[in-house]
Amino acid sequence: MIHCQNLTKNYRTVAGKGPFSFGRQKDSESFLAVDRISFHIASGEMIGYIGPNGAGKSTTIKMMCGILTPTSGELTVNGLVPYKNRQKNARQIGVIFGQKSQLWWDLPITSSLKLYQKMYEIPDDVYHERYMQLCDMLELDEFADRPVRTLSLGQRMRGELAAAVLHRPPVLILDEPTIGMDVVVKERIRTFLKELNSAYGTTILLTTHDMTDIEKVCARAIMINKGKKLFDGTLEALRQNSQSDSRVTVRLEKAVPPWLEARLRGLEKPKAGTYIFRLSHTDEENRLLSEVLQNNRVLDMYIAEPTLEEQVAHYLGEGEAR
Amino acid sequence: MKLMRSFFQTAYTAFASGFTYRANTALGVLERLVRISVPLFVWSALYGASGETVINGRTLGEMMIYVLISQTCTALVSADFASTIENRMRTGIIEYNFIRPIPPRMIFVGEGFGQSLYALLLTGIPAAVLAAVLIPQIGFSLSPVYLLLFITSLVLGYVVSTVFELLKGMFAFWFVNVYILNWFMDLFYVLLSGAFVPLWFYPDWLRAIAAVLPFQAAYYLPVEIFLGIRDIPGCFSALGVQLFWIVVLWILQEILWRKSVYKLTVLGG
Repeated sequence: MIHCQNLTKNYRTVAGKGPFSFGRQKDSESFLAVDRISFHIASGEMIGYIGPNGAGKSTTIKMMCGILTPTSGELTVNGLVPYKNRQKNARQIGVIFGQKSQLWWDLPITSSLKLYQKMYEIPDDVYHERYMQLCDMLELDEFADRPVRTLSLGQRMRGELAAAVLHRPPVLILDEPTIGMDVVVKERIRTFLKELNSAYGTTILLTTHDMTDIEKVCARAIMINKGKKLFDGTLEALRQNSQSDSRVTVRLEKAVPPWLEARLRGLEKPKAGTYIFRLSHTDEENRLLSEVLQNNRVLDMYIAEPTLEEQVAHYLGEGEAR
Repeated sequence: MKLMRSFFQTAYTAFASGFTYRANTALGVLERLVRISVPLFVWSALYGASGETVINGRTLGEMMIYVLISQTCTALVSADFASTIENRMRTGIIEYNFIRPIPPRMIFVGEGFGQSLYALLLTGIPAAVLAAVLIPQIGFSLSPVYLLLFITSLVLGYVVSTVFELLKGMFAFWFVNVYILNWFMDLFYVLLSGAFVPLWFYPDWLRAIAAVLPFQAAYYLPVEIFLGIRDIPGCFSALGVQLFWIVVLWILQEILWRKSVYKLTVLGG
């Protein structure tokens, strides 16, 4: 559905263009926002596209929308080259830029939806059917007749989603749709995306900084940083690859001998008898754990798996070190 | 056809958007009433003080018609979608205009058309009221031929101003902040379009400058046709001038548009 081969985007920025640099010689400086990225997304996949700020996620998305022309490499969305067929491509993608709005500020969302109905040539009966369905899925009823400016951020985003999928695009591209949303709204958005995917096989590319979004919605993640692809695979593979530590909290009857204590990584002792330390999933460290527990009585024990967020941070950290 | 539907729905949405602030709409009607009345009083006072019935070949009656028509036309061409483009450029919302199945410029022009209709309605009500009061006193008639020519010229004038507005909007792609540039443009517009003071009061040299600039083509020429100042061939030459500016301004904005799109899509804004 989406295919990239050595996709590259090189910006030319004007260097040293401060507010008072009138008439100074301007050097143009090259900036590689996306650097030879390749991946293939099959129809119906739900992909988490992740990476820190400035990694090149938005640049990739803009290229998929046809707003940006790649410097080199190939990119097709559902068989079309977006920048060559921007208007045709527009019919097959739905887009949300989480920080910007595509709804008319002073009008109820229904006005914006009717406008998009005409733009995407949706017949009246089909429009009504879809509108009722979206009302149901996103609970638009409670605010459908109020001007967008009076809506809460969460309500507005539900309206944005309705606007983005009204023409039932095979590809839905979301650039930080959950930014600034509360937990309930986030959950509703995730459910909606999953429903959309299972009902219509919509291919979804989701960019977010909330790893819970990725965990709950996506089976596969593509991670980029500084324009380069770092990881592409299932979330499971990401977990295994990242090898970040679990956090072990254990309360013991007797104190751990100092020589053994010295071998525990990141040790904290908030109370006498309570030990908190980090543990990786290697054989060696697992042996260490049994040594700690040997000849002692465990009063309480708790192992926290690393969150996806920690794993991603760990992965990115390793990428920096490499 | 499908493009026209999108265009009119866009215009309708922009038109409807104008009505959301009802107090603003009501005050808008009042503001226009003042804006049309003040020049009427000023010209009446000037004619009265001079003791002449005809100044520069124009009677007070013609002057009043001029004010009514030119103010109504001003409303029609007052859509400021160049600043909308500028605003979207600055905030990045412009990207949404580029991911639609219709051309971005059609969206801009459609919204401008809706805004114009809204402004026309605001002005139309007070203008109609004043006309109903004044015209019977002045006594005025318009032949069907002139009416037809006037409407044609008015439509062409609208096209001139729209293309000019597009051209202004294109500058936003380059300078992002074009407030001062627009301010200057508006100044020229007011001075040289004959919106404020009819061009027949200008000295020859200023009239010569106005004649070679596009501003007067937007709505001074329609007003001249309405007032019957021009004979029939003169009317057609006015239409020709308007067509000329439409072509010239269109070519200019087309060149700038292509460069703008290149800048946005290839250089990245």
